[in-house]
Amino acid sequence: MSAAAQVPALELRAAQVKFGGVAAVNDVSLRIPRAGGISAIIGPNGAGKTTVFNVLTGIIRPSAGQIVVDGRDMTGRRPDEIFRAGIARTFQGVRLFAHLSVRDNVQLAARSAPRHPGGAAVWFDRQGEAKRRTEWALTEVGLPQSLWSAMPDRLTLLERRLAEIARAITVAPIVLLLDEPAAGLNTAEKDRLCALLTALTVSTGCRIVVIEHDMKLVMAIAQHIAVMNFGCLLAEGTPAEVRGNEAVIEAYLGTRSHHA
Amino acid sequence: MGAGSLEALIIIQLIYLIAALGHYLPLSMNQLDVGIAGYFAIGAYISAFLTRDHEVAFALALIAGSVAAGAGALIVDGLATRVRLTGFAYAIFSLSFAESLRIVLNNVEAVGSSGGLVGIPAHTTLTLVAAIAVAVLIGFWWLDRTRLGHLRTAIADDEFVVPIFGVPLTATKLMIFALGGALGGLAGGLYSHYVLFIRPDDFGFALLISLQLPMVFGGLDRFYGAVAGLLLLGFIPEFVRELAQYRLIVMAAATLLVLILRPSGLITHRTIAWVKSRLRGAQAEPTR
Repeated sequence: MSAAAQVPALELRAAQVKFGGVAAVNDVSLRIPRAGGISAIIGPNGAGKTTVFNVLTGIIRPSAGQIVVDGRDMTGRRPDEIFRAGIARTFQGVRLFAHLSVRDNVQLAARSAPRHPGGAAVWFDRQGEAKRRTEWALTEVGLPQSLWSAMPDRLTLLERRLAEIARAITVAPIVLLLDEPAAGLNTAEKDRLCALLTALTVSTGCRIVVIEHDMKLVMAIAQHIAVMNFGCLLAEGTPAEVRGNEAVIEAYLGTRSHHA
Repeated sequence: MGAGSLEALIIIQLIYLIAALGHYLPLSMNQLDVGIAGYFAIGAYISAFLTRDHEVAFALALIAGSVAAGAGALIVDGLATRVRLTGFAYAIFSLSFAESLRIVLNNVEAVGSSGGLVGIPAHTTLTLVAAIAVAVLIGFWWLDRTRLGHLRTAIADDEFVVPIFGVPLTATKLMIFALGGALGGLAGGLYSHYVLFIRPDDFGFALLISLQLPMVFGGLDRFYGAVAGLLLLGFIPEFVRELAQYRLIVMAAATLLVLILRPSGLITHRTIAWVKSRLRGAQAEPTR
């Protein structure tokens, strides 16, 4: 493997976030590898998972620590710069623009694409390029064409989630951060989402990071799991390693011994 | 109503239309910049000063006034955005800019201080104002179809999310603010070269209200809401002249009625969606 392939796609180094006196994120380091595949961040409510996403996407400036995207230090950069460096995300509650059609929502992100592989020819046809990327992304997540010109409030929850994922993948990100993508979905919808996420890691080559509460789902799709509790990183490793970790069993998966 | 006074009415209403659309731009992004009277005054004074005292060609003076007003909006909104003003604080800040400008103009000898600027050469004609108004309307129609127009809607919907999709938020907002200010300045230049005599107090709170009320009537969701509001407010009173002094009461009642029945204005996103679904339904029915 070459040296370039060893550089993590996204790295958080000893990040700390303080709200008032409370440390929402305390000395958390994460290495998100480059190749396709799925990582998960799990942990109880208020563990600091979404705050980690907010730090990674430049919404919250950490009080200490570094964000490194593809080997470049992006600490303190604006969210739009981090997006163009290749980090895209979705939100816990779906946040599509309510008064733009599904297509316009996606196209808005597609036009922010940084470098085009097509070179000068593409530069002169940014509108057309954005349109192609938009249509590719909408097809990729499996949204039927009949919904493309609909307003977001006409869509089901799953369809809105898919539209939000389409909006995030238009620029071919190197890391895709999904904040509770399966929340509120039924079993059949969750299965469809899991199949899509696995397929996306192959077709786009991006690394997906999910925050998720559904343990069964996480264990089924993730190759790497990080466990957070009270703003700290409790453990990380493969699903099997995490399942067997004493600290994790104690803090998160259950405290049967205490109840007995 | 004589032909002359009808022409005067139309010219003034078209000038207000251009200014109202300039005022509409920041408001439609959910940014409460209410400094439009100030931008209007900058355009009116600078262009009049240039044509009257320096014999600058009218077109150039008009452009200079417009650019200066756009720059004024950039300064006001740049400062407001930098310290992250929102809501009322934003409104008060931009309003105090316009009011301070009025007080300063009242004390500047070079532009006639409180006595006003007299002897402005007449250049504004109905044809010119109508042509510019049509161009501005086409511009707005076109803007709604561009990326900048979509970004404007997105900023109004969820400002927080916009930068996360690669959009430099502050730069985008400032571009729209500058456009709004420049339109205000353009309207101001047309105004001063039509009325030929301007005083600082022409650009006070009353001007803001007459540009703000159309938004209340028409709504902020579409630019033609502002246009509809202006048409209603500008022309209806002229056609109920017989009511004489009771006209103002009628207008106040109409305003209250709109605020009670349609607090978001006459033309809203929902109205548009409803009309579209009705149109689609009417087309779909026969094929079934």
